[in-house]
Amino acid sequence: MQTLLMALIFYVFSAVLLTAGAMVTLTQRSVHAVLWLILAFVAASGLWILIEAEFLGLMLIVVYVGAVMTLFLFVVMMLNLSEENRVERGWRHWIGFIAVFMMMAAMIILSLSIPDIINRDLNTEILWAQSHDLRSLGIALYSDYPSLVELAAVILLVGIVGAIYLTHETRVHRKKQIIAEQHKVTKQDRLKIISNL
Amino acid sequence: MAISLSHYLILSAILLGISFSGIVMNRYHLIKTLMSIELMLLAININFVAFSHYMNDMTGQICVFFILTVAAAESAIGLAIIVCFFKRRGSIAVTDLCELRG
Repeated sequence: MQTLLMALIFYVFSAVLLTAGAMVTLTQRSVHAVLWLILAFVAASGLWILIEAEFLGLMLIVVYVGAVMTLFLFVVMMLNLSEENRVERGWRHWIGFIAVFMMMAAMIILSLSIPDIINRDLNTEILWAQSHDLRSLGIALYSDYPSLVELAAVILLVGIVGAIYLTHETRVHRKKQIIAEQHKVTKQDRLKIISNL
Repeated sequence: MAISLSHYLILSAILLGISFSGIVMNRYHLIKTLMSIELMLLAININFVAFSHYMNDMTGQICVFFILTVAAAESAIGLAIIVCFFKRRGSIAVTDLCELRG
């Protein structure tokens, strides 16, 4: 019964995911595409929670839907693009599609030939008791791969610096304080003694 | 009826194909191309999480962790470049990206 329920949840979430993914590429408006992409991320997060990657599923919603997709929405709304969709119609276009479908077919055939040792049942009790939780993720992350954590921090820092440097504009007529010029000022420049006779 | 690893792999293969054909279809739309790249990374992450669960190894989830980090930084810089280009040219059409021509 539980297996049946899990299969049902899997099929519903994957149908939502594939529909949202297809709508991202097919819809005309950019804002709608971003909203469909958000739906795709939420469905993928549900799938991840189904196979006991709860932390990553929640992080996908928090980081992706909360931050990255909001950034996409801001940029799409800020640029206020004209919604002309230039769809290329040519033989090179169809070559691309044929390549994509051959790649997809090859991957599906390869994934059907996965050996049955790996294809375990989802809800065996042993699996549930094993250490698929946040604690073991943290232990593996900080004991086995601490240098990768530092590398990720550097990548995020570079991302911040790059994004700010690219979009920051220095205003020309800005009022700002130049300390050196202020220190050069003497008493004779500012002070004028008016004798009151 | 139990969901096996093959189900997840087929799902991620179809999603990768959809996003790849999205790049092929919307070649002139920079933002949609970026969104298709995000979908591709999502498909790869589904693969990693599925393998991590079915082979009982935490390394796959750690890979997903770092892929998410890199993808967030990548989309932030990509959007910054798009905004920068829009300020300069007033459009983000790919056909306007022709200043590097020698």
